[in-house]
Amino acid sequence: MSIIKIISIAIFFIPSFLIQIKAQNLYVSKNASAEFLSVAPLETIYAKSTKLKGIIDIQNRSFAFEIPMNSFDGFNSPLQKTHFNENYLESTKYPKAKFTGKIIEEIDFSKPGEYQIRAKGKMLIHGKEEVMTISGKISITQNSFKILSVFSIFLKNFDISIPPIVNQKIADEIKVTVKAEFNPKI
Amino acid sequence: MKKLAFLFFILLHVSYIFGQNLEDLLDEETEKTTEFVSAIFKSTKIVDGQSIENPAKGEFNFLICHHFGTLNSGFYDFYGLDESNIKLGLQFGITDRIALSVGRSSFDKIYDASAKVKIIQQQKGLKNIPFGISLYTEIAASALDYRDFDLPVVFEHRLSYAAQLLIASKLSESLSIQLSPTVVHQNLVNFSKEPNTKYALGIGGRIKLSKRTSINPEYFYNLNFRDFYNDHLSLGFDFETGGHIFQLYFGNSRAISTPQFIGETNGNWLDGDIRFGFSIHRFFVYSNKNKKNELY
Repeated sequence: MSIIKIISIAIFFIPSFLIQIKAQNLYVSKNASAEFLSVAPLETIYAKSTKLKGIIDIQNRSFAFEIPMNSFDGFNSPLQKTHFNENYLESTKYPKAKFTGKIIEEIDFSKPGEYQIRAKGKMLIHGKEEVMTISGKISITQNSFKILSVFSIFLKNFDISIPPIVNQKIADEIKVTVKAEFNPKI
Repeated sequence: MKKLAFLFFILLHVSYIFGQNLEDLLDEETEKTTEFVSAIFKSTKIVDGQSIENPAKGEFNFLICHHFGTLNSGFYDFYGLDESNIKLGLQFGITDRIALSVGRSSFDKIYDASAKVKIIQQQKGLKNIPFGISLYTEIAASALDYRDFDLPVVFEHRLSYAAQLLIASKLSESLSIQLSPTVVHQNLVNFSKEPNTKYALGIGGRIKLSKRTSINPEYFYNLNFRDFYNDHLSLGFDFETGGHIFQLYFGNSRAISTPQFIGETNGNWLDGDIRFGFSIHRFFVYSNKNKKNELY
């Protein structure tokens, strides 16, 4: 066997081996939930999605979350859901909301316990990006962890305009709650 | 050759390592799902004709339609506004695919009942179907007092029917089109040689002007009764405000119920037999499993 052959075989396997190592740092959450609440003088609107997906690299504490906008259900009527997707979020044009960034606190994912953390990153909603820092709670257990975060979204920051005729029914500030359980990526 | 293969492997792996980031990994996790295309039309009607849309399950639509008199009737009739035909209707979403409705129009004192069933829904994702098909059937009964007529009128003579296939596609966010092949059957017609079974081909569309307004043209080409009646043509403007949809339109039909506006349109646009009309759709929820009170 020539040396070149051996090297090429070695190189063929090394990268996948490297990715294996990398993958051990990756934790994913499928079917995490996101819910939002709009409390306006004339109407309270609530909707929830369980199609939120997240991935966290515990090595460098970077993360990415995304959610299909048309997966939100609840609302006060089916028509309201249609309006949410058609008129406000324009879900065909901007199908997903994303949040990507880094966890600020240098927490040790190998130590079980509860920690308050802050995450700084880019929030993408309705095709508009905004740098946000949101805080939350992380509970670490053996080999998995849970995240709970409550934060506010201001519609005007994401170019979502409310027509005057319904401004008593839709709040400017939307409260969002995210719950996710992370397990090692297989 | 070996060196080339060697180089190729290196390039392949280098690009693989650097190309991977968290967002791409996340996309790999995403499974494809079926997504139904929603809001092909804003309301359950294009103008006078039915659109492919149904009220959602647990929702009902209260409908008020007006057709006024012809614009060429002059100042004495205030350009048609003195004459008014009205239809009141209720349409219920029984399931997400089936809607039933009842209505009553003042023209010919018609009571009608109809069913609209979604057979194929336009969808993306797992399966790609670029259009949707619904079946619409309507039965109309005239309660007009025939006492003054010489003819003996049995109940069957009061009935007329319409069946339509609604084939619609949302081509883009702002453009939707629909073809509506239609069969109308009237047990009693006005002229001796007039066919009882009439065929027409409808075409309609929606052109969105903004998120909440659109222009809706609609045309029914009549296939076998051209000697007796004109084609139905109308042009509408829609706007919506939360739970209401308002449709304002000009058309050449006097009647509002489906067998009559397709089968008995006698106005001619070129002669100025144009009627102003409007519809108001108001949506209500009669059962909602997502009651917010359960959650708070």
